[in-house]
Amino acid sequence: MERDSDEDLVRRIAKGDNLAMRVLYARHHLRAFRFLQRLLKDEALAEDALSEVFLDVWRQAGSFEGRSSVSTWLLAMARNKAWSALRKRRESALDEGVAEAMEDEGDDPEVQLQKSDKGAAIRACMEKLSPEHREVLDLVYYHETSVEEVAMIVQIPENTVKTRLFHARKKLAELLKSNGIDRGWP
Amino acid sequence: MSNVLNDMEREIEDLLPFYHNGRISAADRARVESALKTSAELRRRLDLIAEEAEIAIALNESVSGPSPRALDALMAKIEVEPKHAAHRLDAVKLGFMERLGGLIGALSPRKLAYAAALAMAVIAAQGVVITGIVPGGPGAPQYQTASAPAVSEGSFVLVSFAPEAKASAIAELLKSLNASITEGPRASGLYRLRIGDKALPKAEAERIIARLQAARDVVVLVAPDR
Repeated sequence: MERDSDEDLVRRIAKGDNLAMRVLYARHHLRAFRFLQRLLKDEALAEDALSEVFLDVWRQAGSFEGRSSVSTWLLAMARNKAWSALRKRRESALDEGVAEAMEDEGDDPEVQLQKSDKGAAIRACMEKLSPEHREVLDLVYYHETSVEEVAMIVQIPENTVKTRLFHARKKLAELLKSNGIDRGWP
Repeated sequence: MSNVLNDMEREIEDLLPFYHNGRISAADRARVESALKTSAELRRRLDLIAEEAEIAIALNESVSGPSPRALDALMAKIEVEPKHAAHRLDAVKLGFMERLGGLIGALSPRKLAYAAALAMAVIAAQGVVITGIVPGGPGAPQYQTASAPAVSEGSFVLVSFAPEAKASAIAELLKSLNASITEGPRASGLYRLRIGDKALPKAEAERIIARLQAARDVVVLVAPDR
């Protein structure tokens, strides 16, 4: 049996088809949730944001014009929800006088312990990157997006995508270096 | 071996992550592959990218999904959402004619919009008053009439009118059968007709259905309902 394309599902959702909504959710919720969770680092927040993303799909399906793929559209919405939640969290942290250290270049005991395992060390340092840098690495490496798609999701020019990716990777290398792992780049 | 890149290689380096994930144009792919043949440093940097990508994928895959209740919670929210854009007309702000125009324009496919306009004309010809739009099945608004509120008593059939049928022809056919539209159009474009005040004998119902089927210029589909 021929499977409905994502675009077909969105058209059906625009007509109020609940089943199409369930199918689209089944196809995309995991990747969208992972993207949210990696940015927010908070399961409850990520789950709330995921629900808001799909609620927006339900509300806005009629205005989906197909200029991007459905998965890019979903990731763009997820990104907006995540950043809105991050901003709220940052504001609330500042209100409480807590300076949130998004990056910490110091010698980290976790990384120290993992120096013997380079992969684990890279993993630990990747987790310490800023959300801006994590998101671009995740989009390219895990979500396998193109330059154009990242530009659409993050809402930055295509050239900035390349620059941001370069800086994210450079930051990762610096974090590793500061923890005693030199990969000979940059 | 130098680990310094020239300008051209530096440009290629920016493409390496997209070369690695396969999301690159054919022209850029050719440029990258040509540069990789001659630059050991670029090949080494591609290896670094592969290493990072493997770890980023593992990190993402270590995130399990949302709780199984998340979908149920979402669907519950959807259930209480106002109906879809096509249904979400501001009944307070818009006048009847604007509401009707907006409604017909919002209907899709076009045939349904035509059917809606046709239904208006037929209902008006039947002397009933449209009182408002009520939430209906997926995709299509429905009309509630003052003289024919949710009718449950009687004999019913479902029909689909020919798009080219004139409202006057439909009204005339319904009058000749002593039938009236009680519901529709549904998402499928079907209307529910009452063909008798009470349950008709089978032979009588079949006779009326046969007459509807014979009116091919007006009716394209007839099916018993209940």
